[in-house]
Amino acid sequence: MNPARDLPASTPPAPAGERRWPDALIILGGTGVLAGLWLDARHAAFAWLLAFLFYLSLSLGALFLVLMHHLFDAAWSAPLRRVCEHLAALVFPWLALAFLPVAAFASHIFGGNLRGGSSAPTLAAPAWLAASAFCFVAWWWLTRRLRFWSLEQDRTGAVECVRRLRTCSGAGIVMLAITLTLAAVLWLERLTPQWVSTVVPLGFFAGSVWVAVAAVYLIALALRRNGVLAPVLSARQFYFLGIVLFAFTILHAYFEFSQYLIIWNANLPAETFWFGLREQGTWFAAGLILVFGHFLVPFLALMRMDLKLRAGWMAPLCVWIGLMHWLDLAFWVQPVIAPAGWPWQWAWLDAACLALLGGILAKAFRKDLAAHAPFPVNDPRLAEALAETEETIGGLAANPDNPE
Amino acid sequence: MTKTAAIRNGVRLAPPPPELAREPWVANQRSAAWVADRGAALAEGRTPRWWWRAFVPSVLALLLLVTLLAYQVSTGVGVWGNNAPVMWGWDIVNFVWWIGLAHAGTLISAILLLLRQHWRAAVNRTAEAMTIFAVLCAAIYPALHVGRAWWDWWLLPVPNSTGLWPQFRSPLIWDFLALGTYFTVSLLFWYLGLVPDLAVMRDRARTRLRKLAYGWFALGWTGSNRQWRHYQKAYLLLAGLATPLVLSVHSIVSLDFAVTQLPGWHSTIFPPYFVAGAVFSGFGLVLALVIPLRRRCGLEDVITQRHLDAMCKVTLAAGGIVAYAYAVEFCAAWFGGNPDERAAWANRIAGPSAWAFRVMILCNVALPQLLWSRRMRRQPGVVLVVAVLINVGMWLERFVIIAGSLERDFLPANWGAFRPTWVDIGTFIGTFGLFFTCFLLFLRFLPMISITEVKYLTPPAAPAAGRPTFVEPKPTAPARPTGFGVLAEFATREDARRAARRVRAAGYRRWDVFTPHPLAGLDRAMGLKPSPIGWFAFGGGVIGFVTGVWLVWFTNAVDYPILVGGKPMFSPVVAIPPAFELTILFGAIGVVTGLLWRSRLPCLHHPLLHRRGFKPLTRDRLCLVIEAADPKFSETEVRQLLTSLGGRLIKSAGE
Repeated sequence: MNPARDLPASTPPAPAGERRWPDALIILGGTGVLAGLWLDARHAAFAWLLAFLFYLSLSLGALFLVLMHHLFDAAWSAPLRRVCEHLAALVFPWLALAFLPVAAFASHIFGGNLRGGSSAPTLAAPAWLAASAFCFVAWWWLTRRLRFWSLEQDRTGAVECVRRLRTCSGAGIVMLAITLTLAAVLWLERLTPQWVSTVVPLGFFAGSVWVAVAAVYLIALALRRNGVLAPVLSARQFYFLGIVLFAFTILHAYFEFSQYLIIWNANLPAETFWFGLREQGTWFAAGLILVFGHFLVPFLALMRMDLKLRAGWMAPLCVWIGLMHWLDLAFWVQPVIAPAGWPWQWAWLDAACLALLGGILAKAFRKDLAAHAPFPVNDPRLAEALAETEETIGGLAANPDNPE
Repeated sequence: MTKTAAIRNGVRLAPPPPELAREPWVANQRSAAWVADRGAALAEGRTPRWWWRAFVPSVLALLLLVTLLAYQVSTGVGVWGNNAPVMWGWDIVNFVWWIGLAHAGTLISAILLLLRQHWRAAVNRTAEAMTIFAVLCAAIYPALHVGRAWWDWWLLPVPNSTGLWPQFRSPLIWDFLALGTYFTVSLLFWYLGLVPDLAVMRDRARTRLRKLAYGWFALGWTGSNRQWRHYQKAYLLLAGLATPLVLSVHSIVSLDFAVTQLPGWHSTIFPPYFVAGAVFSGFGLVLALVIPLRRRCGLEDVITQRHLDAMCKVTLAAGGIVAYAYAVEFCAAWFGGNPDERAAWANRIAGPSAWAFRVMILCNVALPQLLWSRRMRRQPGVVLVVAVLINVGMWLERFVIIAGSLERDFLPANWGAFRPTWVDIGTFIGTFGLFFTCFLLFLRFLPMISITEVKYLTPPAAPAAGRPTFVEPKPTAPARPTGFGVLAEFATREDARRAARRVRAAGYRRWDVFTPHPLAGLDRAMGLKPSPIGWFAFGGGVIGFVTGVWLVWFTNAVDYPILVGGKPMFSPVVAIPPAFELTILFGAIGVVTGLLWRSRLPCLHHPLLHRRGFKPLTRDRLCLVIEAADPKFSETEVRQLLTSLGGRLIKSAGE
């Protein structure tokens, strides 16, 4: 079984203008971050943590999509698997490197919460560092194994590769459950350790997958436009991406709402203070923007079947979803340092951190994408993913097992 | 499928190697007719002996239930073991357990439909029936644990004699709304799925009574594509409504506990954790029912090894989430720094009910790990044992949470222990009687697999056995149309689609294609516009939501304001659960209304239904009819057209 010979084995070089924007982001962002560090290291550390968590969630969400593809023995997502693998692989070394400043400034960010106190539950700094390192090692192993066997499959097309990928995914989903929970607890909940809510890791998970699907949709649109993935993308891929996006819009809202309802109704001061803090000043408005922008707008925008396929509708929506996910994380992180309201004067620093890290990751992603075939050419389900059935989208009368 | 590599857009698409080829959902090349025969066998044939052997004890247990409930109502709720501090004992444990079991039915029928998991077709009918009967069993407990069951109507949004309304800030009222909506929507969904199968049963019926009964409930379904078009949309929309509904039902059940302040109850992960637990136990029950059934009814070719495998995987996944929730709850209690939470967990692990906790961990966490192995998943005996033990474990989980937490609240002076009475135990056994009596009656009188949907999973080229003889067209056609129209049968799905395209191109207006199952691509071939049923669902949903919010606001803040726990008289936060349930309820009613209206049902008289040639159509035929009422209709031309398209004419109406 040979890989398709008449296919571009890698991405064709992008036009010069397009190639340069990550560099521009890095330069602009880097300048901003340096300026921020010089002006106020604590604010810079918080802004960096926020950017780090944003891209981390994107990467972990993509890892989840890869694992689901293998565990479900899915067909429709086969053409997009490589993109997800590359996104997931950003977690090591790039996001691990991005974590180093967080670790270095841990005392600025988490303050006494790491060193120990009298009333708050504490976690010693070495334990915190060890748990963090464990997460990155686990992700490193997992993303590398998944990509290694996937590339091996490109080369040989052996059944063994599929078996390995599935076994790896079986172990991987358990590892991801543990490490993603740790990530949410160590880097998010640790900001306010007095507040314990058991659903927080699930909310972080749902948001991660949500933003990852939106990113994959955008990347798929871009790669269809420049022709790289055009031969293997059909309406089906976009439609199902839209469905997953819709499902996770609801899932995230479900987690967040049930958390709010339970805490609101039980009315324990030890818990309500977290929301009370986030009703001060402009944070109240931010919360309302999240209710409508994070849930209601995408929910209504994704309801219709035909709109899930329209690039002109979906591309702005996916950007909006990225923005909302960032705001959701900011709603977690920023009130700790700016309880009075949104720190407008530091908005440029948040943007600079996002730009710097985003630029670096975009460069790395592009390099990975160019180095290998843009989709798994020997995936056994590729034929099924592209089979031309008389499938009415959304109808019952769809039977991929018996293509006519 | 062709076995050679195809090239599409320059991409070489090789078929998967044999080790990775997908097994068919219908094994041994069974045909559509075989599926219809086998699916209807138990409902049509003689009552088998095993059925009686199961039915008699079930009815006896049901009688026990009726007796004990009468005893409980007449004597008082004290005949149960509930007592301070455990005011919710076996009654609520059993309620949560039964309602949890119900969830697998909706998951299989709705969520798997949305996920395009075609294996649901073989088990969805059984699972949905299970849902409805399990909800019935569950509903007994909250209705009777109030002690004065004759005042249950206070749950309805009707003011009582002092003008007091239900208190919508209580999760118990949400529970009532959720349960009512869930039962109604499940019933609608189940019935909607049954309609085409009831038409199959009607057309197969040999006695007049059966023909009338099935005919009445089949609503005059003919399987015309103009009906299928709305039907598919309606079914999909109901699935879309049932999916958030099923999440909400067990979430609301979990809120009964989670919104309180009791350690062990108050945890924000409760809603998703309860939903996963419900799916987990529900799949356990589906497996436990389906494994013996497929053997007894000879359905191994329809409910295949691959089906069991898939169900085991769902069970494993749901079990994984449950195990995750246990771990997160434990860690949060242990490391979270709340001494009460920590004490609650210490009590679970080492307190007086520690045995229940340990058995629960064994059944719910340790044992299901066997299902990681493909070999284990493919051994029905092993799966059956695991499935039954999961249900034992899930019952214990509810016991640990409910009774275990109540036994040890904040104040040591309040501590106590729960002991069930014989009435508790007898009532619980009795609910099995109710469940199995209903379930066995369902098996005996309704097709236990979704004949219509499984048919579509059969290989398209499978030869239909025992074709009846066809009446060839008369050599001299009558000059003027004398009946309903001309029917022609087509051999393959592609022929039917081509014929539809040609008939449409020829400019006919009153014509239709009759198929035993929805046929992909036919809507386009016939030039039908998308069904407008979505607007009915949307309209119903909006009305439901507005009604819900208005109801909560009007009753609790305007008409009879009640102050509860210092909460505001009206808050959108508490209005959302009731409003959500009404959104789903009204949306579903909108869907069904839209379907009936747009596809002109019920239609208790249809000229085609009286024709002998039409009878096998709901079984396995594809047929096109051009009506005599069409303005262009000319019998000679129509006959010519249909014959030239490869159709075999069936005697036209009136001849």
